Amino acid sequence: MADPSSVTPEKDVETVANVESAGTGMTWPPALPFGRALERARALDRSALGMLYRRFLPAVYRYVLARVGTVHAAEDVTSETFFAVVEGIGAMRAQDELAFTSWLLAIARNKVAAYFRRLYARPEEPQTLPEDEHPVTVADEGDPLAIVTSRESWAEVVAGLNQLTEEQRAVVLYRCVLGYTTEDVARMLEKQPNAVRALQFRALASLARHHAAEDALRRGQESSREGGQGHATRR
Amino acid sequence: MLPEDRLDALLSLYSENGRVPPDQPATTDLNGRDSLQPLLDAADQLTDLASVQPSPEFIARLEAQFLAEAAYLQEQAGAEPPLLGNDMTTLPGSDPATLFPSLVPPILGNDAPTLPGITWAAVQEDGTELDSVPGRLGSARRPARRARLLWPALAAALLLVIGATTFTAAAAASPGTVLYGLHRWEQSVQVRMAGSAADRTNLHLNYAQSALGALDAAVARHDTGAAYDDALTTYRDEMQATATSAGSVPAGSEQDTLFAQLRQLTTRGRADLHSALAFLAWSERVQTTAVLADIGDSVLHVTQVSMVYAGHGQHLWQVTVSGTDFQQGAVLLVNGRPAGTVISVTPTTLVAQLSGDDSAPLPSSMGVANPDDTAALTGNVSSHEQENVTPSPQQTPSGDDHGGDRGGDGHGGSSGPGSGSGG
Repeated sequence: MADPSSVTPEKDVETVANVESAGTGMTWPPALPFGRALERARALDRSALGMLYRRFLPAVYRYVLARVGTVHAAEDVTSETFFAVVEGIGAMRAQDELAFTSWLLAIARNKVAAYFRRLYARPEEPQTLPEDEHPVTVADEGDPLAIVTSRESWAEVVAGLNQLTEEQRAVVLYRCVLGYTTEDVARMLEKQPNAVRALQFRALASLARHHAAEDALRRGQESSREGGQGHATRR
Repeated sequence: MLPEDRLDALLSLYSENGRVPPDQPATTDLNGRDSLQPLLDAADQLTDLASVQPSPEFIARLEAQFLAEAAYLQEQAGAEPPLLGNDMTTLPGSDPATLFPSLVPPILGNDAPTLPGITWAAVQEDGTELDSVPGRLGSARRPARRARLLWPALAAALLLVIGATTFTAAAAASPGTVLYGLHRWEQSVQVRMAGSAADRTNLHLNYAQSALGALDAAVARHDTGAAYDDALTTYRDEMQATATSAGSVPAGSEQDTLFAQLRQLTTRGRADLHSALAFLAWSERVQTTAVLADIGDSVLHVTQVSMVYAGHGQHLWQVTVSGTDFQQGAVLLVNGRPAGTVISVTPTTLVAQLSGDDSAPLPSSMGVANPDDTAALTGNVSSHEQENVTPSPQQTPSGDDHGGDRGGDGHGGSSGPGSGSGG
């Protein structure tokens, strides 16, 4: 699991800005405190916007990918999200990293919703994942077996996530994919930490049930296939 | 401890250690019945996502588009209402009021009498001054005369205001908008009024740079219609004008700097245009390729297309395209769209087969698209009938023969219907 964000509301904004970014492997330039970078980004300063982009792109991309399921669609929706960011950043009121992340992911959530609206408006388009559209993690690269396994389970993961409520989904994605702490997630979603824990529990239980049902279905199909083959061999 | 809290604590341990430590069994039973292990497994499947990275190409492409959009918005925000806009105020040594005195919006109200043609009956026809307060003019005829003067004056003032507003709006007009033509005219006026060749070159460079920014932003917004076309045309024109103008700057460090800026903008333009190609329609790819050629990039060029009809019921044309810089994997373009089957490609010749009847009109344009998305067309299309296998009766040359095709090979160069349209 990714390193959780070390951002807490109590911390000084300028100190927070120097901490290594969650999951991105990038470090915020110590010379530029986050609050000041936001200030400059509001004025459409390109260097500040570039730093924000490089820092938050992986998180937005992962969030979107977990929802839409294909690399191509994830790239489209991520692009739309960042264009909306540049258009709306002048009016953004966030003062620290966590508030900014919350604002950014809210935009991504809206863009994902818009994507699904468009998708359902054109039901004739294929909604299954083409072979080359399955994401491959860094760890999987170069390992064909791992890639195949990943592809098999990927559609299942996305389908399970899409069965959750919006709040459950946000909690598990922020916690398990983006690596934020429960307290941070609570602040981003404006909830109590206990409520976040409860949502997290229900979300993971729902995902576990979904995976169990899928496993049972797969096992049933395999056993019926094997049975059919055995029958044919005997004949 | 509640199961939610225990799960949360285990997930936190996961995030810190990457796995459940041996002394913290994840399968601890809850009330002797449930286990958290399936939930942790479900979380584990999600954590695979945490190591997914977008492709480097996507990161670079989106960053360029993102920053181009920011530059575009910043430019839009900067092009503010002041008279005739930013561009006019950047003109060296020029005051908008001096440049276009008739376009300065009149300030209505107390200063109204200063408007041309409006006297508010302050002066009588015989030249004697009257009280400027209308209510104190005793004569019944005076209001009527005032009204006669007032309406044309108001109309003139209104026209002035509309004109000034239009020019102000045009100064901030972006490519693809109705007022962009006026905006370009204003820019040309500024260039003409520039004091020196160096000033002119700087203006051209600025306009080319702005056009390239607008082009990038149009691509980023997938607005590849009029906005892209206008920006591309402006970029090409301004780059050519910059090159010409920089040549007339006296040799020295100033000229060197200008040429260096021009080279820099050319390099950036090549990169941006190549990136844009993938998002464009075929017609725009052709235009963009032409602009790439104009700024010195090595791109394909099509000079001539020759079509030979196979006949004998095959309904096939053999198409030979001549040109330069064709790449392996290139495709044939017919009327701006891919068509036919490519048989062979060399750097200078592409041979393809195209199904069709010889009675149909020839395509108005044909060309080639390379795998790097550059494309070029030509209208120089000629057609020939395939050499007839059955010998035709030889016509005996007569004294009144005016030359023509003595060989009788049928290669007239334009024997097909509608052929030889030319460039």
